[in-house]
Parts: sequence; C-alpha cells; structure tokens
Amino acid sequence: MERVIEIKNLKKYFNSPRGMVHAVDDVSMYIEKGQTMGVVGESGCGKSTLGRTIIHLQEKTEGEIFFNGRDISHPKQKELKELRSSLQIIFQDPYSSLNPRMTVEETIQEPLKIIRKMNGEELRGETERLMELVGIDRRLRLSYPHELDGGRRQRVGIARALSLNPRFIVCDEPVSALDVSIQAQILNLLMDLQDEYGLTYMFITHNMSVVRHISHKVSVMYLGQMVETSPTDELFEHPLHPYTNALLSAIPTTDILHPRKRIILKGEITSPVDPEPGCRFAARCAYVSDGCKKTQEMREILENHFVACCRAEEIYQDKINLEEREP
Amino acid sequence: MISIRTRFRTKKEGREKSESTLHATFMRLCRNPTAVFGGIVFIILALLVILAPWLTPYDYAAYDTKNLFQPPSPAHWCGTDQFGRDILTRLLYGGRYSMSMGFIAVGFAAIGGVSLGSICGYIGGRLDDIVMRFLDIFQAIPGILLTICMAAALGNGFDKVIIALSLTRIPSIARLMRGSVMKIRGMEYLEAAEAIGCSKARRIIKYVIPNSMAPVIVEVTMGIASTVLQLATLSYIGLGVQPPTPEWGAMLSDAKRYILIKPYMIMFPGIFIALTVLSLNFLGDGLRDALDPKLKD
Amino acid sequence: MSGNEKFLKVDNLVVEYTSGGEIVHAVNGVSFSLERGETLGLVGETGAGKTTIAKSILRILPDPQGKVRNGSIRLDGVDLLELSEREMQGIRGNRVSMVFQDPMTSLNPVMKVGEQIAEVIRKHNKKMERPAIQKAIEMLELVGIPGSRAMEYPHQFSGGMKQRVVIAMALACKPDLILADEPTSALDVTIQAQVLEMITELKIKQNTSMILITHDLGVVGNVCDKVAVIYAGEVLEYGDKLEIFLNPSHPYTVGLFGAIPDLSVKSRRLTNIEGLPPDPFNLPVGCCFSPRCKNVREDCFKRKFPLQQIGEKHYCSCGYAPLGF
Repeated sequence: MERVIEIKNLKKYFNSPRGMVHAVDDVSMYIEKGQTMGVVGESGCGKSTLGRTIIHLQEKTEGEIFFNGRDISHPKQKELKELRSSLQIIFQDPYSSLNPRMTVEETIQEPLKIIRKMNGEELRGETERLMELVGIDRRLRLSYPHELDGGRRQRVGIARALSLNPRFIVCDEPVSALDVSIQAQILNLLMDLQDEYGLTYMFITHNMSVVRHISHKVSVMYLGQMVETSPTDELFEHPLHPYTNALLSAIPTTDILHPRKRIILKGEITSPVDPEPGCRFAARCAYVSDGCKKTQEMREILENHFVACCRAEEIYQDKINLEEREP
Repeated sequence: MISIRTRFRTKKEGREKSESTLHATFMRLCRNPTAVFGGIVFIILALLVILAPWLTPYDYAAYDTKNLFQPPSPAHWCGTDQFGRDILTRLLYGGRYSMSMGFIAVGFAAIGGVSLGSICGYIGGRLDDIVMRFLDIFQAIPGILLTICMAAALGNGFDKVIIALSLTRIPSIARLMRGSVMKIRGMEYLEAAEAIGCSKARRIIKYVIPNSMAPVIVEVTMGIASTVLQLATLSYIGLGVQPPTPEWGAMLSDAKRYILIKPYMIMFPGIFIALTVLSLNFLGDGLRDALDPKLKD
Repeated sequence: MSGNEKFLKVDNLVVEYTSGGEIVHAVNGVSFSLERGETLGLVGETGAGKTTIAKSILRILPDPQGKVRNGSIRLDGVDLLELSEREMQGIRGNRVSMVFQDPMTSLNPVMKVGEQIAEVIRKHNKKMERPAIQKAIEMLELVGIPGSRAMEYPHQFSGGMKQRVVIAMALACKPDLILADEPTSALDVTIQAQVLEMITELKIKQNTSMILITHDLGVVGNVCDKVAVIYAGEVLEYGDKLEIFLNPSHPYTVGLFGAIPDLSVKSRRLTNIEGLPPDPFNLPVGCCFSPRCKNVREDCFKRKFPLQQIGEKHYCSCGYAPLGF
C-alpha cells in the first residue's frame, strides 16, 4: 500500500528562555493511504507539534518529510501553496479555531476563494455541497460562530478542511472539547468521510478509547519521543512499553465488573528542556536500568509492533508468565 | 468564562439573517442610559453645527459697532462679543472647525496607529522592537507639549494643525492596537487561516484587525473629545486657527480678558466644549461596555 | 453509625438564573440524598445544571443573577438555605468544601501555597495548639507534596500538583462533605489516576462524603457509590452505581453509555444521541429528553414523569423504561 506520509528522524526544537525545548525528537513513521494513524500521549508529549510540523504549519528543525513519495522537506513558496491543498488540519478547540467575525459561509469560502479561485455560482454551489457533506443545515450559512454550539462549529472546521480536497488531514484532538454525545456524532462523520473519499488521517488525542475506535495503527509518544507503534488491536492487546501500560491502565472504565489493576506512576513528567540523552520515561519507570541511559532504538518485538525500550522483551515475558499463572 | 447565554445558544436555528456582533453591540449600547444620553447630546450638537447657516441669520465675521458687548437677549441668545458679533453664530460655525478637525485628526491617527500597531503586534521581532522604541520617544513627551511644539514648528494653517494633532495621537493608538493584537496572536483561527493558504497580509487585514479593533474604537471615540480640547488649547495660545475663524478655543482666548465684566463671553464657548467632550466620553464608555459582553454578564 | 436521618438531603431544588431579562431554568426539581462516607456521582453534559447544584449547596451562586426558587438542602437536618450568610461562612471550607475544575485558576497566584492552606485553617479554628502553617505542611504531605514546597508559589507547580494543593485546602478542616466539580478533567490521564486514587484514600480515612461532578462515566464507575444522571436540570436516573451500570434504564443513560468508545467493546460505529441539549430559556413541555429520544411516545411530549422506583436502589424518570424497548 502506498505511503501517503512518511517522516524520517523528524525534529522540532524551540528556543525558550529556559533553554532548548525538544518538542519533537527524532520521530520516524509512515501512514498508508486510507488509514488512520492515531498518535497518543499526554500533555507535552509533542503530538500536536508533530502534526503541525508535518504539514508545514510550523517549520521543522531537522529531518525529512515525504508526501506520496515526494520529498517535501524544503518546499519553495509555490510548492507550499500547492501543498496547502493536499495537507489539511482540523483543530481541537471549536471556540477558537473559527474567526468570530466571519459567518459559516465566509469561513468555508475562504479557501475556495484563495486557492481554488472560485467565485459566483460555482462558489455558492461548492459551499452548499460542503455544508451538506458535513451535516450543517443550509439555513445556518449566515450564522456566526458564537451562535453555534461546539459540535456545529467543529463541523464548520471540518468543512473548511475538506474544501481543498486534501489527501491527508491532521485531526488535532477534534472531539476533546465536545460533549460525549456530540463526540460520537463527529467521530462517525470523520469515519464516514474517510470511507467515502479514501482520506488519510493522523488522529491526535490523549483519549485512548477514542483512538481505539478510529485508528488502524497507533503511535505512543512521551516527551517528544515515539515509544511504541503498532496496529491498533495489537497495541491494546499487547502493550509493550511500560508507559503504554501505565496509560492504558489509567483509563477509568465503565466495565465495573472487570476492574483493571491500575499502574500508578510515581513522580511527575520531567522537563522537555535540554533533556538528558536516553529514555525520557526512565525517571518514572518501574523497570528502569542502566541501559536506559542510552538512546533507545525502535525495535520490532512482535510482528509489525515496534517499541523503544531496551527491556521490552523481558517485560513482555514477565507479563506472559504472570498471565499464565493467573487463570 | 463563557457567558451563560453563549453556552446555551441553540436558538437561531433556521434563520436566514443572523445576529452579527455589530448588531449585538448596538443593542447593548442602546440599553446603556448614559451612552444613549451622550449619543443624543452629541447628535444634537452635530446637527446644530451642520445646520448653522439655516439656524442663524447672522454672519460670524460681521462687525456690528452699535451692539458691542451685549449680554444675552432675545435678539442675541448668547450675547455679542467685543466686535458686536453674535456669539451663538460664532459658536455654531466654530463647531464646524472644532469638530471636523477633531474627527479628521483622529481619523488619520487611527489609520496610522492601527496599521502600525497590528503589524508590530502580529509580526513582532526586530521590527516591533525598533518601532516601539521610536514610539516610546514620542510618548515620553507630554501630549499637549508635543502638540504645541509640532504646531509651532509646522506653522499655522488648518492642515498643519491637523497633522500636529494626529501625529501626537498615533503612538497611543498604535500601542493599544499592538497589545490587543498580541492577545489574539495565539488564536487557532489564525493558524487555520495560514493552513488554508491565507497570506500574511490577508490574515492581518481580515482576521487580526477586525478581532482586535474593540479597544481602539473606544480610544478613538475618547480621542476625538481630547483632540477637540487640544485644538482649543492650541487656539487659546495662538497656535491653532487664525482670526476671524470662530474656533471655540480661540473664542475662549478672546474672552479671557473680559472674564470679570462679561462672563457670558467665556461661559458659552466653555459650555459647548464641555458638552462635546462629555457626550463623547459617555459614548466611549458605553462603547467599551457594549463591546465587551463579558463585563455585563 | 447511621441513623434514620440522612446526612445530606436535597429536596426538590429549583434554581433560576436571570440573564438580560430572560430566565434560565438551570435546576428544575432535583432531589437526592447522601449518607456519611458515601460518594455520589452527578453525571451529565455541559449545561445540565450539575455545577449549579453544587454551588447552591455552598450558596455561592452569582448574586443577583442566580436564585434558589424552591427546595431545601438539609445537612444533618439543618436547612442550609435558611442559614444566614455569617452562618454559611462558618460552614464553607469547614464542614463543606469545594474543589473546582480548573486548577490553573483556583489558586491565588500571588500567595504561597502553604499560606493559602493555612488561611483556611486559621479562619475556622480560633484556638490552635500549633501555628496553622505547620498543619498546612502536614496537609501537603498528605496529598503527596513534599512539605518543603509549602513556601513556593502556584506557578511553580504542574497542573496535577496544583490540583493536589486545592484538594489539600479542601480537606484541611476535615470537612464532612466535599463537592468536587470535575476535579480531574483538566488533567492528563495518568495524573488523573493518581489524583483520584488519592482522593479516594483520603475520603476513606476521614470518612468524608463526596459529591463528584463529572461527565466521565468511567470515573464514576471507579470512585462513586451512587449515581444521579442529570439532564436539563432534572434527575433522569438515580440510584446505586452497580444497579445503574449493569442495567441503565433511561434512554438518555443508555445513550450515554453507548456513545462512549469503550476499550472492551469493539465496534466501528458509535451509537450517538441525535440533536442537542435543550435551550434552558425554552425547555420542552413534557419530558425534557423527548425531542431527542429514540423511543419517544406521543405521551412524552405532553407530561413529565416523576422518578419511579424500578429496582432495589434504582430510580428512573422514564415512564416507558421498565417495559423495555
């Protein structure tokens, strides 16, 4: 299957008064056509920065980015404008991602006017088509964002992202700010659109349950580093990295008849400023050892399942032993 | 904090026309009694001034040696001055100068200040540093002093006075605009605009300025009032308009000699200046409240 | 030992907000009760009225916009709504305290954290054997923050730690009741787990009752004993957690469970609840959920249904729920 997006050794550092922040540190991954890559992690792990860097909304510090096999690491002005059509983004906060002074119609028409250079009848028709596609009532076209609820605003954001017929969309926590019942509506919409148009998504979220539903593959990030990546079901059935384990066990479940043994992490997240070499999770890890001080390589431990942990095999073996002992 | 009303907004479904922020602001303004009062007073003053030729039979420059220093009477509602000229007529015509110069000067200042402030605020960096330091120097000198110096340097004449008045006002508007722009700099809709191919210029004009204008609108309204005062000051010390132009400040200056024996001469120009400034200030205050709905809720 | 008198009894609470001349019916006849040491989960989506209920108990509704129009809130038999402001001040932070949602803004940024805790202690204890600050340090240690950090300012702490400080403040005077308004929603999942674990431990140690406001059914499942599902200011379903989780009856509750992507259930499409929460300026006549209910009958638009008992400790306000659909 062709790889729509591929990144190699991508780094994004920010200069801050406290020092150099390693927001994204040496991340490599690829996403195939029509698939959703879930990127999970908690605040400060760099997932949002990763998404924005890939689509050139922020400039990378180092590394390579490929789109449909083409090297787009250093696009020229003209190329960048073309890329805007193919690479789009849906934002998290429906309250701040829409210009408060523009109506629904104007917001959706902006990209159509700027890039696809539409006007008149064509413009109106396309706007209507997009609104219908995402499920916004035509009568709302002259409404302002503050008159709409979060779910509808998010639909406007999705219509805007779709207006340029992109191939790849970064979904940056698109449902985190919505109520549960609206979340389900929007997730269903995104999945339907993917099925119909063969869209490729990078779905960024901190919500593991959501990611399980919508992603084909999942990558787990911690403090700028990618620590584990594998097909979705595989990750949830056999989490290998200690952080992934903790993350999964921390999720409160509604299945109260089968309470999960929660792994409570000790300590707080360490700082992403001028970090020490080696695994950044070591400070909170129950399996920390000397080997953790070296840079961890992503290694294939199970089929198609990569982990950046020097003790991954051991931990996996321990788990199996434990499961065998308990029925 | 999102107001209760905004959180629960599900009505307005199925409407063709909807409530723009402009409309909402105007409605809020109308609910404010002092603002409405200020607005009405100002409109009355403006109308009086505009309709001057139809309201008074006198010529503002005509001498009338038989009627010098007349106190207020049915023939001359505000009395006459040292040359027998009808004071009310001079006030009405004078208002044309005071008010229009006030508006024009502030208008220019607004254009300059908004452009400068939004560019500096949005782009930041070196440009911002340099321009701000430059404006700092301007602002270090007390406003009226600066205006006086500029007026003195540029010489007499309406255009030069207007230039002096607007230049002194640019730094404060620019700074205000810059602060307002910096507040919304991190907003996602700006990122979204970039993601759909919006150029920097278009972003500033269509996205940044409309959303950070509010404090500037208030400042501009208050600024007109303050400019009218500054103009009066300039004329008072002889740097503004020249006789026989009936500018309010000039009239005050003329009347100061006779303040003890003919107090009405200084009273009426003073009242008009005060009313203009007061009504504009009320309006400005009301606008500030109307533009910031969070304050009300 | 539990007497017949419930520790907290809320009866038919009605709260209104006035906004620009119009009335918001925020809470419309809510009743529930709590024993000592029990935790009640108030579950619902944004705007359902949960926070309003909590603020009514503490009587910290915005004045003059928010008014309690009806009902009683009895703490150990005493109606809190009848007390004077001075008497309420003696209760706030002392017998009943509140933990708010956003730790970033709950703490005073210019006051050291130890001082903030000590202030609460001093307010409610006229005579003290040791300086309040010592007690404050003890509280910090209790919530897992080294006492040496008592002299630091809030901005020097992370979100999770700030929330722990807030909890320390809430627990400082050993309250009988804690109102926790989405105490962990703003926190990362792993930190959330830590904080919830800590709250539960402390609660057990001090036998504190708790009302936990949340939209997360998972959190409710872990921490609560009882559940009340709130929608449009009304209680739709109420009772023992186990009974409700195993047998959700109200169509809204069923919808909520169905809308949550669950780790253990693998299905591509989520069942969702169509439509939007109702406009509180304009509540539906009849059952408040009727416009969105998949199993609505003619009847539902016309009349309201009171809470009926459908299980040993299980009440539901849907007239057609027990009949199944």
